[in-house]
Amino acid sequence: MSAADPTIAPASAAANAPSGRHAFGRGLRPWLLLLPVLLFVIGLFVLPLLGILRLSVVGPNGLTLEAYADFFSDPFYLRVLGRTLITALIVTFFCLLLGYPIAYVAARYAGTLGTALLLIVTMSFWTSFLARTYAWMVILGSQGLVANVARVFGWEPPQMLFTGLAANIGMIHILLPFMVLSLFAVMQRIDPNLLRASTGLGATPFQTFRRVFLPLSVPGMINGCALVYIVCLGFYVTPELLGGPKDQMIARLIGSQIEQLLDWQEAATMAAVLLVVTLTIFAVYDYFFGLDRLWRS
Amino acid sequence: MTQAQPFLRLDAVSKRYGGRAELAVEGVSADIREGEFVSLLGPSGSGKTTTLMMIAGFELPSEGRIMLSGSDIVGIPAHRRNFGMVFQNYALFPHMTAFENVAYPLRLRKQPSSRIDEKVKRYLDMVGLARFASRRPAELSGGQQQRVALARALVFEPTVVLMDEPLGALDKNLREQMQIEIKELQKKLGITLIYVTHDQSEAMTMSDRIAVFNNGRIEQIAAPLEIYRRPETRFVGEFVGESNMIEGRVGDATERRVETEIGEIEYGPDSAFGAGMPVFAMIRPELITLAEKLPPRNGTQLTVTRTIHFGDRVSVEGTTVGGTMLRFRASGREAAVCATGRQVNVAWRSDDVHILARGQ
Repeated sequence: MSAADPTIAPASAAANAPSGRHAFGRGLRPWLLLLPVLLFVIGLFVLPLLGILRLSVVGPNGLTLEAYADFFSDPFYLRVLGRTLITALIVTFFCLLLGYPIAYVAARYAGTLGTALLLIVTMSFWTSFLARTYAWMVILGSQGLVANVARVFGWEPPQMLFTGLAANIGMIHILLPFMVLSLFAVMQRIDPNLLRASTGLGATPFQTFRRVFLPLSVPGMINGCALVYIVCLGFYVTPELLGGPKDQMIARLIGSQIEQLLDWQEAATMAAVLLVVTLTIFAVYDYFFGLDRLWRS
Repeated sequence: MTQAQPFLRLDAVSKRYGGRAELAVEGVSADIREGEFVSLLGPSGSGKTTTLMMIAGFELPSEGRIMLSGSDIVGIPAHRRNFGMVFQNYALFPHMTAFENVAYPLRLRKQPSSRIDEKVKRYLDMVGLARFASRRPAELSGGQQQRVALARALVFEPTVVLMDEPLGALDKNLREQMQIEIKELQKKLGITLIYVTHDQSEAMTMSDRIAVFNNGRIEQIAAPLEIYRRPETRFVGEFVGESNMIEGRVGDATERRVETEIGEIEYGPDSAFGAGMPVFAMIRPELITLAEKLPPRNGTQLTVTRTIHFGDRVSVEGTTVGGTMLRFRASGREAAVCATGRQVNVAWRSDDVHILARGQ
């Protein structure tokens, strides 16, 4: 605006000068407020993370990408990475499948039923995931609830605990609230008048769901899936406790590199790979859907 | 005299919401003719929207029947009634373009796509939005959105069109323009239209008939001028337009005179009331005029208590010696005469006095 009108520009510049100093002080103040958390994050997160990245490329003889070459040439490691990606996909899929009806009922029937459902979901959200993992060990164990009930009906169940199935069930259970709450947040904002309008225009309840409600709930599905998928990629304790040795996910692999092989460089490399995979998913999500939506709703 | 079967008939329809003692709608009956524009007018909570929702099929009546061409439609779900509906907040599908929104009811009816294309274009053109077909609702103004909603409600040639305060969210100028457009479309297409509004001037300008709702009941259903000139209840008289309600008792019924605090008031020939009955004599403010001299009857002296200028005219309030408040209109030129505190003489014609019953 200053260039367009030369007669006004100097005057406004002069008028702005004193307030400009103020603006500088004001501009600094938010940063002062952020300082403690910045120090915290930089000192305890960013620097260690850089340390890990450094660890992955520094060998005994200086800079090297050897560890990365090892990782990408080892079929076992790649299998674990692939399994991690696929497991996260399966878990996300079932979370969506199970979470959608729960969120739908909670959002559409806001009365007692909806509130009760939300309460149950939130309560499991508040319960320590470790406790819930142990609960699954009790339920799925060879002397557990499921096995004993099956025996009552004269059927000897196969081993359930320490299998991929148990690990997946545990992860689905723990991540389900993320999905339900993401879906609910979006579904709750769908104007009920739109559903009425659809009905009034001649749509059966199913057509209304299919053509109006479902498409409008897609943002919730994307948010929920992104959240569940990304959290699931780094899952450690639950697959470790419920799954078998053949169902290792990458977080477990990183753990064993450190604990058993003391190979910090390989562990750091794997961590870096996992980080890049996660950031890539975030980037894709951000490109198409905007990251702010994930947090806003 | 045989009457044609009514097109849409509400037969003693009542609605009670679960757990509540009072009825939201109480014994509403009305016959609506094909091609008629009927407004349901009333304050909020008067049952007009609930009545509309029952006609639409979104609410079930607790009692009574809703008949369409002689058969009860209460058991028919909303999606099979073939009624068009326009909501106050437009209720356009945000994930579809204007075109897709209008095409929606046709797609549900599995019409061939060439026909859908042609009809959607025709109806978008009719509401003046042909150029905006590919826009999403978020990219349209409120008035444009409501036009899309209008096209969507009309495109499948519904049996009846229902509108729930469709212009409530628009500003005054746009609202008046849309009133004219909706009325013209309705006439041109011969649509049977039921229109809910709390705006009495909207109901007056658009409707063939108005049903005035109060406390869940229809107080009166009649043509706009009939409602305005001859309201049957005090509520109707006061809700539709401004009015002076003067309490009194019928004196001489054959001479058609009411005894009131401001003297005897003669009334027009249309009312039949027996001597001694408690009544209101209603006179519309615009039918009271300033007079040079105090007339022997049908007039009074007022002390002006308040004036409101509208530029071209003035709304004047004054009280009689006995304390009765009357409101009347004066032209802008007469404003000086009606300054606050001054004494003025006013008069009216006996034909302009309407008598209505007054409860004890």
